[in-house]
Amino acid sequence: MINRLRAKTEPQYVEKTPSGTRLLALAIGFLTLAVLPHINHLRFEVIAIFLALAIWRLVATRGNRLPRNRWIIYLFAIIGFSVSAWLYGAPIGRDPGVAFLLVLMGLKCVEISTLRDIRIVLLLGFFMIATHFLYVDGISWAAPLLGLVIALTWLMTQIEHADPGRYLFSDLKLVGKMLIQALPFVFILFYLFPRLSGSVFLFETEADTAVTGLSDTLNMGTISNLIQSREVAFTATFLGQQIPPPSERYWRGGVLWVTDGRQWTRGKFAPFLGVTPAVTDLQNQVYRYEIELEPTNQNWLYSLDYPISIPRDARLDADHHLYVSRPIERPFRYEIVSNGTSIKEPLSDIARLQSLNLGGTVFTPRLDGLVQEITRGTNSPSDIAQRMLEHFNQNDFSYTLQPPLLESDAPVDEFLFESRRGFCGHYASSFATIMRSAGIPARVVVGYLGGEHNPRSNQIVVRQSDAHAWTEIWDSEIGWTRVDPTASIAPERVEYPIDFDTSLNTDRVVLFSARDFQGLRRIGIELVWLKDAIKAKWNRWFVAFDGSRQRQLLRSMGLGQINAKLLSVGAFISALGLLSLFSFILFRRDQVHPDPVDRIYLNFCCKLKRRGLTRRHNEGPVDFAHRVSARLPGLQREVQLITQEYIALRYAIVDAPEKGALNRFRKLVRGFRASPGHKTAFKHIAVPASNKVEE
Amino acid sequence: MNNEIQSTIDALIAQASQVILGKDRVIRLAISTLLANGHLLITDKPGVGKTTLANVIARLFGLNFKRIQFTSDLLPADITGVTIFDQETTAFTFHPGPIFTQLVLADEINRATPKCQSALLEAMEERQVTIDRKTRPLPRPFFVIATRNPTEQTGTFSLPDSQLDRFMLGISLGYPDREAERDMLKNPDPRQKLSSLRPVFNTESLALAQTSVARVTVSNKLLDYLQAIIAYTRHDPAFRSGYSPRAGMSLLEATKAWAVVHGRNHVLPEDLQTVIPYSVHHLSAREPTTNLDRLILENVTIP
Repeated sequence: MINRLRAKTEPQYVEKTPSGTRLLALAIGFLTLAVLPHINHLRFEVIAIFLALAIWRLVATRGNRLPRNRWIIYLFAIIGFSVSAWLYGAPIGRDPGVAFLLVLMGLKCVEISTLRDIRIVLLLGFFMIATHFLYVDGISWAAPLLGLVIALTWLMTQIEHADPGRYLFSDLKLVGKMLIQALPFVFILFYLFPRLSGSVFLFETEADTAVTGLSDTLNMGTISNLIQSREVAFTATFLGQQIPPPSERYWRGGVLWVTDGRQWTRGKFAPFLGVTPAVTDLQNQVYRYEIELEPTNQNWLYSLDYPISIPRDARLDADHHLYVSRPIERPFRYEIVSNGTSIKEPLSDIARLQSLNLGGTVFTPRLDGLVQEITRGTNSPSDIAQRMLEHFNQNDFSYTLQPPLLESDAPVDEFLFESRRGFCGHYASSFATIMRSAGIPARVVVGYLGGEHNPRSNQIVVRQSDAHAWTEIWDSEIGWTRVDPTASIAPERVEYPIDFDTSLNTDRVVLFSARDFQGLRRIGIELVWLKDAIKAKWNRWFVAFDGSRQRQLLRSMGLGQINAKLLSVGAFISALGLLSLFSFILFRRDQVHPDPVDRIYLNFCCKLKRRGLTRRHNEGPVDFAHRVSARLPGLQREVQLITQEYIALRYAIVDAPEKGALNRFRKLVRGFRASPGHKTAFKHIAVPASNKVEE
Repeated sequence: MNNEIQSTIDALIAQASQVILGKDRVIRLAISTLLANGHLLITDKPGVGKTTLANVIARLFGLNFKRIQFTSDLLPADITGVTIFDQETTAFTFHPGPIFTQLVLADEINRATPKCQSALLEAMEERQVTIDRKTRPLPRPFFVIATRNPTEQTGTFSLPDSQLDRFMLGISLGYPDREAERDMLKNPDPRQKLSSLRPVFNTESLALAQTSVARVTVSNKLLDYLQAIIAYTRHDPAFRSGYSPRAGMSLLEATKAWAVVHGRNHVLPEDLQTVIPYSVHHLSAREPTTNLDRLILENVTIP
């Protein structure tokens, strides 16, 4: 036995194996493909080290000039670790970890000398592919990485073949089969393996990775950059029939209370500025929806005005600001209900004070003049607000994404009387400033406006370019009321938000912009909708599946009480169970036949197998019977009888056997006992002359 | 299975074994080939009893027997016959060649030129010869037992694969074992034994036996196995060419006859496994040293 094993594991040196160098080149090529996307995240030097090592191995195929001394490799590994730690300034963490892995992979490539080494390198390649998910989780990455998985698996099958490349098509089928068989394990491990919530051990996400999102400070100019970005901010899936009209799609983010004359911030006391709203106050216009929020590195949640339910794990401030306790670093899903109208609520004294506080705002005479003009003869907040909006409307204010810089000490004055060009931030903050100086409590709300409605999935996709800022003023009659000054400058920004029909004309599908191509354009729109719908499903079921979603899933399966330890044991056991089921099926595949004759005969073979007599795959029934009779002379008669019946049913007739003969055969095999010394039940049956094959 | 046929076959084997000593399997293979209406190729060194085997078969089957010694100066007309102008009748008359017989022993076939070889091989395939635009049928039954020297011997033309394909089975006799050789040395004249043989078959009973071969049961499982073997020889990289459809059919026919020779009216996988080593002349290997029949038997699973 040991000898046989040893004979099998005789090292097959790459350079001495036919097509070994071809396999090596393919393996290193695929590995490089698996490494290359890291160029987006890792230092170039690390990639260069890997490439240099890999190329070294390829070049060395000609002459055998590779370091074969183990200690040299160890030395290299230590150097690699030091280099990756030095490049990143820390030995531990996501980037240095992956960088070190890359260096080690390069070294492993150098170390390749046998086919077995190539196999190991390919397994490392699978791990390399997995490291990409430390950086990306979009569905657009799934296809190329799956392609690489297929390529690596295919190459593994090629190593097993004597003549690689010959079986291309059948091997691809085999790879497909293997991957499909792996799927149940993937699902079990993905959905049942305990999730580490929060910071992942060793791989703490770097805090300032470039995640776009709203800033919690509104400065003249900060939203400008954001508006250029077409990244999806969040997707809202509406669960009821109600979809807000475009002019009502105000997605509330943060409420800014404090100004210093140039910028608006939330301030420390915002949470206490008011009475926590009643959340059970359900009114007529109710939207129920689910939001899939992309990572923001911020703890704000977004909702339509005004949220009347509080999502799981979230909190609601008195100013209808929703938030969670830690920054959102991975897609986050929550369900929420909004009433779609305002809520009448009292204004506390401290909130009134804060919402009238002008901070260090510099007032110029012409600014004072404007305030006096709009407050003349009235103290109704709505009238005053209306007059200010008319002021915007009737003067030459314009909406632009590239406003001039406001560099003076009084930016509000400069904007209102000189530049008069700006975007929502300028209008919202200057409007709020004017309102406060007119004695009307006001605050600035930042969030998103609009979003594309995708009827295919009943979703609204909100992009970073939909970022918006508006104002809320307090009217004792109504409570907090939304006033969007941008609407009076650029009403199309509100009434016709960037939607498919308009956006297709601009930057998305320029090809279909002409009116002649209505049909094609329709297809284009449908395709975009479909893509967004798939992406939403992907996010929902894979990316956003975190610890709490897992608990939710388990609860719905009636396993709510289970803890992490039990869960990991359960996941392990079910994976093990699945594995044994598979191996059982594979083991039985040759044995389980739909054909009853084969099944019964295999049953007979099984019984003999327990005595150590296994029928070889190319051994005919008569040969097998001869071998068994030689080894176990006591069973000769029965074995010959059964073999004869089998031949009569299997080879002597073309059609299906008749029932009686089949039953007789089944009985014979059932009564057959291969164990030694056991008296069998059918000794009395006469044994006809054995089959003659040859003497 | 007709008992009469069975006992005839048994008697045939028993008589042949008395003359050709210790070559039971060769005798059975030769009989199988004839019962399956095929031609037999014997590859061996001179003097191991090729001619004797052909003689015995001819005698026991009660067939007319002619022998053609192939030499390098043999002409096709020497095999098929010639048309000669007869002065007396003032007409052309056909003088049939030695091929017009029931059993032809084509001795040392690979010493003749390819042209002669093909004249014979055409007759084998078509069972007729065409001379001077006139097609003349050969007698029935018509068998060819061809012998050839191993190709490494001097003065030989190797047979092309396409012509080898026309032989149903290819056997070699090999040296006799010690006991048989001792017997031969004691009784050096086989001709005496040969003359004591009495035919056990006649044309009718031979036709009957051939019919019983055609009636042998071949189950689907067995066909699965055969097709797996054929597919293996066509797709495995060790093979340069696998079984042709004709070779596959003749392999099955030979196997059916082999089963009949062993008293069965159905074919077992073991029958195929036994016959395959004698049909490897239908195949060719990429590496000349490859043992093709071993490859087939070891790697093809019995379904």
